[in-house]
Amino acid sequence: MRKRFSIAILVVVLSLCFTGVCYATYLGWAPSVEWNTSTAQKDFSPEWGNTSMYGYNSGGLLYVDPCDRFRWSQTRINNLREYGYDSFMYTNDISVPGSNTTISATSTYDFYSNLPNPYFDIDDDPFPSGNGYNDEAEVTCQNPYQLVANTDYRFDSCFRVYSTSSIQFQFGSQLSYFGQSIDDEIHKYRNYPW
Amino acid sequence: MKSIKIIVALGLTAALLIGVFCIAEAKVGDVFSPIKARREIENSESGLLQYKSANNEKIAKLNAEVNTDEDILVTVTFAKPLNENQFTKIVNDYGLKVHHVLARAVEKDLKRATISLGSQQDMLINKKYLENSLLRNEAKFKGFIEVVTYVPNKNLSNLANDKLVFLADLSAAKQLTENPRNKFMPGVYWSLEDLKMVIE
Repeated sequence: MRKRFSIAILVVVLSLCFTGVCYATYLGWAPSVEWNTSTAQKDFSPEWGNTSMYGYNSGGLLYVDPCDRFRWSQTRINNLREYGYDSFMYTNDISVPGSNTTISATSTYDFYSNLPNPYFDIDDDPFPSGNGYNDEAEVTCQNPYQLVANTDYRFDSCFRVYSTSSIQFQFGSQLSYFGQSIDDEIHKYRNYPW
Repeated sequence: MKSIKIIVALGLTAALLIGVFCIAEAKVGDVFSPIKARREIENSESGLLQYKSANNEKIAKLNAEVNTDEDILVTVTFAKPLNENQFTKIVNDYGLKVHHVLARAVEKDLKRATISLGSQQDMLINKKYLENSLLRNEAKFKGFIEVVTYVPNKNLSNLANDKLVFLADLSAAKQLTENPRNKFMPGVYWSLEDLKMVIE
């Protein structure tokens, strides 16, 4: 009797531990991971960044907010300005890479940014027809002349999650010409769940 | 004779291809580009007022040409940051079908922050995202500054003339432009702040 009781207790404890481990992987904050000039080599990209993700449940639905913090040097801000204020602009991009035909996570229209004069947008990649899912979130700084060197700039996005099996998010920079990306690079990949 | 026919056929084919190419180019050129459209607004007090006046003329023309119940996509820039009650009243008064709303917040070091909140079926504002983003960025909410919304044509003029509205921009409306990817016109609130045109 005592042995059976011990086994039952053990099963309950293990179940609780397992549940805890599962929840810890996609709810709350993921560890912060930095990126630097090793993956930010383009002359328009910020030199340093820090990524994090916050997972939560709202109204029975799962969401994750991938967040990027980044800083430019004065040299790279000057580069951005020299590209031409009227037509070339910096865009920070967070997306689910690839052209998957299955739904994993889609961007909502919820964003936060402290970039000067931001324009938020979501997109259905690949351009131009997409695959039916908004897998890209981006913010474009419409005024590079108001960027200040060594300042903490931020872009928080929000994705509705449809599958907790395995989703990869990519954090990157683009140089856009009238809103159309003409050059880009990826700074960091992060996995969800973590 | 046979070679002349071949030359004529080749000539006609080339002309046809050039024609198709030109039409395709013209179509691409006409597709709505939000950033490009925003760049065309002169960033000065007189430039903004001139743009507002031209936009109101477009509204009057649209009112006359399009069915009164038809929904028009507009980006509304408010004249000052609105609290939740003021924003909700405008939504109800003009029958807005909100796509997303932008809010102004200020960070600890006084940097301006912009928060976009998508409208969901059961709630006008995603308050959870608003609270989360303010908390994690240690920012203070100032008010709602812009809204991207559909508005019935019959209410468009009154919305544009509301004292809390600076501009109801219809540049992205499908009735006026080709906008296959449903892009939205940027608002001008940032410029209102820079130019000290925000009302008290």
